[in-house]
Amino acid sequence: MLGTHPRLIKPKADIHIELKGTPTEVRNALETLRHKLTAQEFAACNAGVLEIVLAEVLNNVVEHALAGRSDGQIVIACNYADQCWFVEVRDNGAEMPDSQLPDGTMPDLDRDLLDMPEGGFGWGLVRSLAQDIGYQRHSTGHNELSFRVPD
Amino acid sequence: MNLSSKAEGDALVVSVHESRIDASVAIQFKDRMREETDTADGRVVLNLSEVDFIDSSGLGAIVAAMKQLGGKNPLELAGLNENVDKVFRLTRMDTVFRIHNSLDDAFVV
Repeated sequence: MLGTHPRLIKPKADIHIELKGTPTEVRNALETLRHKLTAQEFAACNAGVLEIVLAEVLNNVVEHALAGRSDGQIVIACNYADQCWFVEVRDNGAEMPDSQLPDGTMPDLDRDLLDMPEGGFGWGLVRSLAQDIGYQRHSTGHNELSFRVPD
Repeated sequence: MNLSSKAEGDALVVSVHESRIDASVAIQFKDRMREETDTADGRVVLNLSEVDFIDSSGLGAIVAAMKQLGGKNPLELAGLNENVDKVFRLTRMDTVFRIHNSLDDAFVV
């Protein structure tokens, strides 16, 4: 498990989800998230934006950090305070290239219809919707991404 | 990936009977779109009214479906909920596709 590092996400997070690094597990995790967000205490929250951001973050972890791996593990913690979701995502995948977060420039759409891009939108969506995005690579071989999503 | 299609007026309407178009089904979506639209002759209206959620992979699959239809059969979209619409707007893909508020609106002259 991810679990021995002192910076491990608090198990008492408002929402805590662990998953394996596959697209199907990402879908299941997001459905679990949505289910928890419709629970009474969070019923007034804007679940949609949080779900979009987490989907893109998790897809990136699965497609890049955990590419070609079958032992990928991801932990998500979301805490709600001051009309804001504070989110941490940890995984045991490869480090971000140059230890840098992608800049999130949206692909250029000024081109012929049949040359339109089919990808490259993920980090643009994250950067459009999340704030205070931070990234740390830990010596334990984990990535930790943190960000804030205003409700 | 549950899709159905039927000819309606001047268009082929393809309805997605799924709550999500995401990375786990993007390839199936593209394949099913090809099957449902291989006889299309004119515009294709993709009815997304049952879809609650789309991610960038799902968006990419819709773009791919538009491209495989070619310029002769434009792909239009209808029935986007708030979150689906948000993904199209933030990526500016709302400027690429003709988007109708509802399936009915797609047939208003």
